Amino acid sequence: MTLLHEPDYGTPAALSLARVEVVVDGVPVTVPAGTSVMRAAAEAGFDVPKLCATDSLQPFGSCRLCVVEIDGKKGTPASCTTPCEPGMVVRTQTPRVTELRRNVMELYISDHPLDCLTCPANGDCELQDMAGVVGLREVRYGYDGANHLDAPTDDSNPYFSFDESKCIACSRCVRACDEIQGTFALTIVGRGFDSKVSPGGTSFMDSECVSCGACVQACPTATLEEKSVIDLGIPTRTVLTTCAYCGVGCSFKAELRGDELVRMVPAKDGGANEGHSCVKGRFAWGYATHPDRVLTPLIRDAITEPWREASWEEAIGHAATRIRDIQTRYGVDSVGGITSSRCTNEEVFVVQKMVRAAFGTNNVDTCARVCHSPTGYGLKQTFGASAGTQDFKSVESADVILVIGANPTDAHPVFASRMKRRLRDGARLIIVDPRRIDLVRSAHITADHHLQLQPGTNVAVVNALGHVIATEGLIDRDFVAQRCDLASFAAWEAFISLPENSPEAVEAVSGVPAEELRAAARLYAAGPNSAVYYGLGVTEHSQGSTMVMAMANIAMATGNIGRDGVGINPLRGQNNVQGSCDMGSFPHELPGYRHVSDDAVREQFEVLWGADLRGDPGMRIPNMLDAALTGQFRALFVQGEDIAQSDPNTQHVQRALEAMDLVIVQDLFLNETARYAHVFLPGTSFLEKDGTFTNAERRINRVRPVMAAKTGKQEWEIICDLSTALGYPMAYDSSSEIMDEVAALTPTFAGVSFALLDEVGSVQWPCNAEHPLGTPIMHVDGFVRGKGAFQITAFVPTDERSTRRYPLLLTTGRILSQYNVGAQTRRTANVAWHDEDLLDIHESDAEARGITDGGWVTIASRVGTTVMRAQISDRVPPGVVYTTFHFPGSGANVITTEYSDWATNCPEYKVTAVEITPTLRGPDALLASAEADAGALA
Amino acid sequence: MAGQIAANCAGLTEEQAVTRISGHLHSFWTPVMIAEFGEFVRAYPDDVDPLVLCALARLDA
Repeated sequence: MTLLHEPDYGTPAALSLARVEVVVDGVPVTVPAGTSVMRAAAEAGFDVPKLCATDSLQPFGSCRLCVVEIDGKKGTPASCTTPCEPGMVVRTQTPRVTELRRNVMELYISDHPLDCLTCPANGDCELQDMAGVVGLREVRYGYDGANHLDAPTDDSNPYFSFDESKCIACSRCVRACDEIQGTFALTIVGRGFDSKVSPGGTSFMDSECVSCGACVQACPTATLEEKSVIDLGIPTRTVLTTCAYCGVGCSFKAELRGDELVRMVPAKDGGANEGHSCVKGRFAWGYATHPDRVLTPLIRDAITEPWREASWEEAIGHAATRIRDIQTRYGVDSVGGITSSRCTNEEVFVVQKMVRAAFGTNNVDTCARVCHSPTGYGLKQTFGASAGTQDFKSVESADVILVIGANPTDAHPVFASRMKRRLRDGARLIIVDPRRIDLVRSAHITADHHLQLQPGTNVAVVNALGHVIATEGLIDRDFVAQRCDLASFAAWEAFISLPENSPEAVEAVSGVPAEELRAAARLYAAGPNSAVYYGLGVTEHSQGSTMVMAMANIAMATGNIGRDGVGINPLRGQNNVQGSCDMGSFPHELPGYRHVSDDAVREQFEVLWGADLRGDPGMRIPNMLDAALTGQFRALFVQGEDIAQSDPNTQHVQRALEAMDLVIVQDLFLNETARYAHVFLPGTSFLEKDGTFTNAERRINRVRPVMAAKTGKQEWEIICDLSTALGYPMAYDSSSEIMDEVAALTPTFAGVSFALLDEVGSVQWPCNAEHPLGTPIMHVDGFVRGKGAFQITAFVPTDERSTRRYPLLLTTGRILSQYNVGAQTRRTANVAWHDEDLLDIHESDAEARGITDGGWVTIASRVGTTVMRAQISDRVPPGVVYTTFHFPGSGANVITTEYSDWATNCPEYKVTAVEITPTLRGPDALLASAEADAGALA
Repeated sequence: MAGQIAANCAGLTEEQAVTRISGHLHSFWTPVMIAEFGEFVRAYPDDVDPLVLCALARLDA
């Protein structure tokens, strides 16, 4: 249930273009063919009582509360399961149905606790509401018969409670888990009086439940209730905002009592999520008020000194003075900044503006460097725009889904639920991944092809698909002729047809059988609508950009661009990594992806900003770190990014940070990077921000303040103060003004404003005069660059190879309950599901090394060593090991290397040659041992 | 880094490869990085891919 009662029409909307006219209680109403009588009545303004029906789920017809009378039909059919027929005359309020409904309600209430006044759902309970609506006055059965009032409560889940005594067995929760989430964790066990909801015969916590909250949302009583509501009471007000976890960008209703957040409920009309959520966005928001939050500026002269609290004025003045001192001594380019992919568009925009106009350099970069920078490069080269081509809804029209290097059920769960619905409806599935991810085989879903390739052979595999498409006559030549650059196509066709790209040649290096490659290619080419969804398993490689272009090539070759159900879809990891890129957080590009050397574009910024701007590209993050070690780069401003944990080769990052004279960190917590900082400026959580995020489908959503900034300042205000202290005055009356400035300077954002977003909810850029309400699908009539450009994508094996010393290949990824470096999720109850990073290793590799399940192991690469617990798993093939990177103690990046994508320097996180050996000592023991050794030497 | 860029020009014609490399250096490398690389090339020309040498020459022109 939810505080802000959005209209619930009882059954989902029908999509037919044909129309049917019926009469409900004397009122004619015209509805799409297939509409239920219940929904037609609701649209006519007559709410039929209901308990098992809700418009997010398919009709079920179990509660019998929604019975109506229909002329010419016998009995009293359930209006939820009865489709409208032409000329139907329906009566929803007759003495007969009124009596039947009261009788039904009597039965429900005869087996329900009468504790409304102390129930946590008091005032927010559909059972309570329906008892009033049907006019229940007595329960003739009494309360002494057999009942379920003593049924137990399952409190195992940290976020919600399952009180069986209040369950009316409407099955909404079961159906929500099936239809919306797609996990099928719940069922009805038993028959008749013994029927009850069960999470697979065990507790919720021990079941397959992924704690998405769909069941809690669907429950019409207090059976499934948020523990926060039980503790704090029913919320009294609502603020619409956007999640700050992954790139799906779910819309939420933050429900509060005063200034205290009680719960986050997914918004039904959220463009990205349409009423669904995952465990993180739904429940794991407690980090925003965690005691670890730093709320006061901190400064120190040396990183060996303790922090001391300072006023904003002192901290900002100190930072500005130090920056200028350093620039005077070492040059204007000795300083730079890193923007956050977690902060709003407005906050990021002002940081890059400060770096360019106040610092006077283009040394600004963002965390997209380490994740999807190859997407920006590759799609710009081929299509002309650095972003995905579709909206999320497009997957509903896909016939073939190709998932490459992505694990959406863990990393983009709400989108994965959409994808799974389409797969259960019959779409075909091809997965390219070294691991057996959940999607390969899950409830009612089996991949048609799992191309389980060797890490580092992506390009070879996609080239092989292209080879089949080109040599077996599967090219859509009409599309190519109309939409693509023919010279580049001819060159690509000749290249891809070479024998070295054949499945038979690629089998040896990739480990994927040739017949599987051929079958997958034929399936993709057959479509008719084939869509590619990909993640960091594509980009975080030495040929990440090449791989993006290779995927774009096969999409163009088969005509799978420019309409629903197709496209190239990067599943961007962070809530605003797309926005961070859009806002010009790149050393070579101004906002809107225009090169800094473009004089005409740069002049527009110079005029509006009143500052001379540099026309030469600045340093990327890896360049800054390298230059720090040579003494050329001396000061770094880091907004909402923990490079000491998230960037590869941790030792290198640490040495670089140590070498700097000034590190300024603006963040929520004292993170790993802050260990090397001299100034800490406390930031705000998403609950305190006022701005916008842009998700993976280019959708710009509002982020509204749910509570006042606990630090006393919005992050954009901090940047303005710092810029002003540096001598470049920057001031805005509101974050809305910042977006207005973005719109004035950025053609793809020209139509965007807070007023528009408040009116329509969200828009996907480009949003301008040509597309005033945004652009769900790109490249419809033509590519942004004009004609699509095929690119030659020769496979160049990575230099990171397994050797006799390091015979295994490590790849990394995410898990559902934790998020990125874990700064947020580690400070919530989500640790109940995942409280440490584990190393997945195949049984045969473990046995050969004497490694046991749960035992400590040392993981060594040529760069470094770390310790983790092993988990024997058949998800990884022999020769491949896998871990997550959510806990700093696991040191996943201590062992990742300096290799990176040739075009963008995106680190090659997904291929590291390692050896695994059992160890008796865990990381704490290793640390204690190291300290003891250090003491002995002192 | 420049060598890696050159290696990833496999399959391109020489002109296309030189264009890609010089374009990449111009678009993404700072003037200091280009200057330092130029010094390295002058000191160790045999250690540099010939395509990269052509690309640098084009940048200087």
